[in-house]
Amino acid sequence: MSHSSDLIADDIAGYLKAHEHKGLLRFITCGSVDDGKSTLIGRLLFESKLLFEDQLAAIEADSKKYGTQGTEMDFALLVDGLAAEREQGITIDVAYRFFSTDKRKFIVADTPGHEQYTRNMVTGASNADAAILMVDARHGILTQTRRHSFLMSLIGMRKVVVAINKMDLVDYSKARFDEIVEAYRAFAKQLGLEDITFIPMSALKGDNVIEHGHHMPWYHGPTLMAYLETVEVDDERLQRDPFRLPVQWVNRPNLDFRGFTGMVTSGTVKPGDAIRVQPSGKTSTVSRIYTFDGDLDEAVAGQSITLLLNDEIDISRGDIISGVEQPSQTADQFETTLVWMHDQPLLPGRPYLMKIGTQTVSATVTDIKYQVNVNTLEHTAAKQLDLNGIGVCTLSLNKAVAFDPYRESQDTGGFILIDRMTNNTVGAGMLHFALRRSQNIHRQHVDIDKQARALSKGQQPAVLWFTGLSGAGKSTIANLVEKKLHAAGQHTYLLDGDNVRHGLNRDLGFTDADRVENIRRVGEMAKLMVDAGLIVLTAFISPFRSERQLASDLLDDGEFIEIFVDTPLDVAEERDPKGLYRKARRGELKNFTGIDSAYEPPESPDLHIKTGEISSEAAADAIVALLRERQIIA
Amino acid sequence: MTTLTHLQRLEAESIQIMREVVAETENPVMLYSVGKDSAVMLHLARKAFAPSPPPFPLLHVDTRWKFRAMYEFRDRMAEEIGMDLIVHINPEGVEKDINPFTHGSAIHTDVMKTEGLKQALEKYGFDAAFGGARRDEEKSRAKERVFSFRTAAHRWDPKNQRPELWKLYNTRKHKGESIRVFPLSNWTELDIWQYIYLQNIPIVPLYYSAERPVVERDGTLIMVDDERMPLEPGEVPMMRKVRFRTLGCYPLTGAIESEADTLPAIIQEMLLTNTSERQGRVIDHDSAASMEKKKQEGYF
Amino acid sequence: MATKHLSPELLNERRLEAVRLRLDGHTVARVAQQTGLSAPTVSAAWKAFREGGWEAVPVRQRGRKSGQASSLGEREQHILWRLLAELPSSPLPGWSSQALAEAIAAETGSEVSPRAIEHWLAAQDLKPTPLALAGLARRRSTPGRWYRQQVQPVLERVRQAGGDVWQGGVRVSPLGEQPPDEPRRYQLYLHGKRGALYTRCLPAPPMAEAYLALFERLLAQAVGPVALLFHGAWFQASPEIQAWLKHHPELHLINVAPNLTLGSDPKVR
Repeated sequence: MSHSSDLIADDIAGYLKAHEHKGLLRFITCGSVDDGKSTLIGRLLFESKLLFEDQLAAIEADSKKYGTQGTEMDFALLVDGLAAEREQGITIDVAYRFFSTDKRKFIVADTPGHEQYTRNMVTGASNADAAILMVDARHGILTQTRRHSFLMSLIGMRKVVVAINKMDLVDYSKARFDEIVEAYRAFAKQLGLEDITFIPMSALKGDNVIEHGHHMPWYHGPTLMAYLETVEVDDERLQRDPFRLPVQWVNRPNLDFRGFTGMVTSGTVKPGDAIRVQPSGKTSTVSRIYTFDGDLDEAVAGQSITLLLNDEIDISRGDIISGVEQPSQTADQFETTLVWMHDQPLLPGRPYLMKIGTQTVSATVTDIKYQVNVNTLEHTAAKQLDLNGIGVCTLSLNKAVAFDPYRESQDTGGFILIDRMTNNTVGAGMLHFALRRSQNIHRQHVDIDKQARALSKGQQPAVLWFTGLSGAGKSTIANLVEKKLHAAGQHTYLLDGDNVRHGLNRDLGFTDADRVENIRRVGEMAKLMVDAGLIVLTAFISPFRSERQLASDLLDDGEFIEIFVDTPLDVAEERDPKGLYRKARRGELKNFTGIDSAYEPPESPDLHIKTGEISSEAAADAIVALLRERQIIA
Repeated sequence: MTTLTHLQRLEAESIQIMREVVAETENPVMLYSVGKDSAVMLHLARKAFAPSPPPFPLLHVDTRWKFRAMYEFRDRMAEEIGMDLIVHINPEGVEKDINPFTHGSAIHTDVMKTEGLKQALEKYGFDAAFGGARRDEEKSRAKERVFSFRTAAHRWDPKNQRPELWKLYNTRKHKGESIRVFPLSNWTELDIWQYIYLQNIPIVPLYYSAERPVVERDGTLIMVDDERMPLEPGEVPMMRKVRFRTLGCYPLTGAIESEADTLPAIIQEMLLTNTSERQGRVIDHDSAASMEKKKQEGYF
Repeated sequence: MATKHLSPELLNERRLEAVRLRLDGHTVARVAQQTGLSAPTVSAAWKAFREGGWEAVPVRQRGRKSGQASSLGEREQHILWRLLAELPSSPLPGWSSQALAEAIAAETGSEVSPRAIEHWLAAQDLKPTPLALAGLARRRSTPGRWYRQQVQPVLERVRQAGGDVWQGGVRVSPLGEQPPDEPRRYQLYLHGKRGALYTRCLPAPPMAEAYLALFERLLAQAVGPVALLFHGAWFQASPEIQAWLKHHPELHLINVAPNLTLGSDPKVR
């Protein structure tokens, strides 16, 4: 069962030969220390890996000191390195451990069952071929079991082992085992988990872990190790699916060689195969599969390759090369399930970067259909997703991408969302299917364009985006600027925060989510006005960098002019022209910027006006001068 | 149906990681320590970008105290593969003549290695650096990410590391920030040796047993690699059959007595031996939590 | 689990038990768990059994090697170790078995044959054999070239001048697995005419002083110059030895080049 130590000592060449052909299985263990998870991993490591004597000595010493098994070796101590890390304030984590037998090398993703379980477990499971779910035979199916099972179904785990542990504490009772199996089956059916194997076990005593032992003669299934050594890995299943190669990097050392590199995520490919490139839809045939060690006759899922084609077609990073008959789909709107992974909540309307396969695009959640409670599986309405929240959402991209439904292909249907400002990975998601709506709304072509309209007005259209705290003086200065421009014969329009909230945006409140939507609408409206050739002045607190960035992204280069009206909070609060700060301080106004909601000042505004240093009049003059300088106005 | 072996899958994963870095970062570099893990990493890089040479330079942060055989091997490899080799030695360290004997291993490592690495990354503006660290090297590395983010001050912020799902790596960073990338994260020591054996990857001869001049220091065998090694009055180094399981600065690297002078013999010895790899590194004995601390300071 | 902390007796008991369990068909891992030995130790015991039977399983103890039980008593052995750490009182460059036998007799008053001493040395792995130099001159190998270029001219010069030719070296004994807590021994040895052995055995790597004492005694007993072919020390790094050699050109020291496979002289075995 273990490394054949005898073979190592007697015939190292034979041993190496045998181990060249080992496979690889990645699996995740779900459960808490109470379920005996660490004991199980420790036993697997111990039984199957030649532990070094200094490691064993350390564990032996620890067993005496901290162990829970008296004088017996406490296997859990082999793996519990995480407690100390948590004390150091390291929040995560997924720890990866390695062991191998004669048949396979194993990578175990071990996640602690504490409060961050959703993020960690989804992360650990995303790469796993199989999952071991630990159940304490005394307690049966618990809330935790349901939660772990739901997460496994969410991530599309194909192979699940329910390890019913601590059978020694229920007298190795077959009846108890059957009872738990039946209860779990009923529950798993709802989740769509299909390939489930139940193993009664005692990780502590070793029954049915490596060997069957003699306590449960009624059990005729595989031991856990036998299961792990033979269960089908994802790469092998994926070979039967249509060919996909997300292009990572185009290798062009000279004019005669153009290789498309990437990892085959599903299917197989041979020279001569017809392929289709998505999203462009162009077709060609494979001429060579190049590798450092010589050309291949065939490449399969899981291999990193370099593909050469017979035709010179335009292919770049982000494209997917597919088998011609069953190519990947393309779309720019999807129904997805999102798992939120960051303290900063998901806000609908806020643009995030989305990385799917080798493509990176801008994506916005336009609608949270519902949130799922991981414990009860209930659906509830939600305006935002908090850390570890799971929601079914509509996702809208700024351009079409090639994809497959996640259920069919994890590597071309799974994605992450990245915060544009912090660059953190804030969410992970799974594409279910494309929503076709936007594809049927074609843009209407018009003959008179922005340039023509602007020309007739003798100006370059632009948005003067005033941002700053409430009471900073945005409206005052914007008003002065508009008067000056008007007097000079320019065509302008002032969008004021308070005015817009009385009309267009009166359905919105002041939560973070509503603020994001408020600014999105203002941005879109400003864009229309710029298209009409106007110089638009907007006076909104617009506290978040990412929304100002969004408004800026809607416009062409040079059209967005950010003006930071910088008044210290105490000064603005002292002025308090609308009495809002006083209300906020009394707690009558929630989410008031500067009091209980953040203001993110611009990092490099086009103009930084310090109201403490210059008058509103001088500020307005400076803005007009800037417009002249930028040739917005003559 | 083709069943990929564990080494084929590890190889494919490492190559995927390297290509991702080259596609998404501006100025990557490969940290080349001349050891066996570096040898495997370099070999994988050649595979990832063939027929082009790897599109990044090699960076060796030198301390002036490596084994002579390492310098010879390093220069030969860079020339054979046709890659640019940047050698950086901390000039302040040279000026103050920092060395492991008078300043101790901790200061020597900090100045020459940690500070030297930061200097080199800044000097050349590298925004991503491949390193050969593995998760199986010690317990605290088991949770280390493949992509490890460093602030502009090169600090590793344990609270600000990104989850890695599927094969998706978020490589975005702010100006001045950098990433350390570990393409060998999921390899074990045995995988490394087996891959070297199967792929016939050249390694520094010091890994093979041979008669070498050594002296004993606190029970550790230290090789007298050049005349800078201070000897006790009257001390005469002995010629003993030894080899090295890890390579670093020669005064800080313990040799083991061994007869293993072929790769299978080395693997056999590794599998049957009873102490883990890092015991040979004098650096580990400095303080218990030294590794974690060094990582936060920017040392691998 | 850590065999480090086991007494040799207990360790050997467990090694025997491990082999019995392996014979019953248990896996190495299970046997390791059952006996509390590490898997490599179980494996080593099993290998020893397969190669040498039950007798080979216990870790060899110095002086207690089965079948070679020395006729020397505890006291004699104790004296031997002490003597070997010192320089012989006679002008010999190291202890011969004859000299050791005489010294013991002088101290204990009872006769010990030089042959018993020889057996004892062999049991302690303290009987290195001289290098096989005959025939090297004609070989086309690296050792052959080395011999022709570095050794032969010197030996010829010394012989012509009526001098002596010696071989010697320094080594750690014994190599390989040994009971814990037993210190290593560093053996200085010389082979004179017909391979006669002169040796010392120190608890730490010999210092320049020990080598120089040996060199000086070699010169003192010679009429002409002396050629010494020496293996196992890196004299180049020792300023003391380099300085001494400079002042004693009559000693022609030839270092055996590292990593030459020379083998041992079959005639002496």
